[in-house]
Amino acid sequence: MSRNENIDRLMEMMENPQAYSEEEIREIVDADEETREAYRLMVAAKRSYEARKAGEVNVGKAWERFEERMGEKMGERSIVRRTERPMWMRVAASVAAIGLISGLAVAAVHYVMPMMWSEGREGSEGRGGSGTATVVSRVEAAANDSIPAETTVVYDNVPLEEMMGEIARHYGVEVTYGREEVRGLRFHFVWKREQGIEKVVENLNHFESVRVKVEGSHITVE
Amino acid sequence: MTDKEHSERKMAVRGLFYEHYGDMMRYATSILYSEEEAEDVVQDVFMRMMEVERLPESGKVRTYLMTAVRNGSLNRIRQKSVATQVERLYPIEAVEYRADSGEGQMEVCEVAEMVLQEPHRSIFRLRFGEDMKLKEIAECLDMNIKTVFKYLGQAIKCIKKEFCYEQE
Repeated sequence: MSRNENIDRLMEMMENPQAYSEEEIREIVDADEETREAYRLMVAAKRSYEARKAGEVNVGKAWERFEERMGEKMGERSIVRRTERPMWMRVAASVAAIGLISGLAVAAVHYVMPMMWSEGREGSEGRGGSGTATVVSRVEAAANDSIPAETTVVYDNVPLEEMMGEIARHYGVEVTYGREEVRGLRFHFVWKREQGIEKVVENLNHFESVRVKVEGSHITVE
Repeated sequence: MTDKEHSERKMAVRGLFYEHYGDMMRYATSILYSEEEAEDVVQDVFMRMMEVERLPESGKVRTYLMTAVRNGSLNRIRQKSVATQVERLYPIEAVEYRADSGEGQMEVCEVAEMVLQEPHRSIFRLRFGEDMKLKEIAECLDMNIKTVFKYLGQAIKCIKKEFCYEQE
């Protein structure tokens, strides 16, 4: 095909690129250096006209929007499930809390109970079981509130749908699920926010129970 | 980062924001053609500045910021399908993207206005400045679509020759 015909083919394709496959588009644009040059020029033309349209920027308002976004980000980081502490530290904190509460419960039984009995009341205070569980979760929450801001997010036993929702929002992509049952699968997954979407998808594919594909601005999970 | 360090960092980033935000937005908008997407990219860069271990040295800040804007904008483009990239006239991977400061590339429309005669000049502007399809341009100028196609091809080849000549 002559060089002129290649550029004509490029112009025709650009009238309706959605009607062509990705391979066809790349083949047309990449036909020869003249065609590539023509496409580069068209991009440069578009950019030069767009630059003319650029309006004034209100930096003060932009800073306010940025501060709001920073505020949202700090709020996200206080959620319990995003913890940077290793598992052994969390287990140790839980054991320490249980030990403390158990000690308090024993003390309550020995000192408070006799007082209550002597007043003629029945039953017992300090239900060690539920009280222990409540205190453990508070300890973990309090500890997590003091964790400094990080760009690494650790999902610990979090459903895939929840994880993918946040990841997709960050990269500005859409997610669809090939099988409904995968939405509820839970994983321990480390997401470094500075990584590109392709790397994140590659890491997700290390899990044997899911298969993740990214095509342009669309992620499919099967 | 402690609260005190966070406050100090925020003060420093605020200074850089006020100094560079306008130029960064203009540059990102020139690549993405959308102020909304440009703001996302620029804010991402400043969010990163809040989180890095150390800010760039004062002499290198502008280069760092503009490079980050360029890379962030191109990454955003790469997330779209190739058909969408072509439809919106983004640079695509098949065509090597030439490094630039965002300033040299702004002259094509001026070259077009200088060297093209009518109706080539109007067709060129309607196609790349107004994003009109050839069918719409043909209706607007009351011309046959094949004629519009021929004139646009001639305009592109003419500008290409002028633009390459200017770069030499």
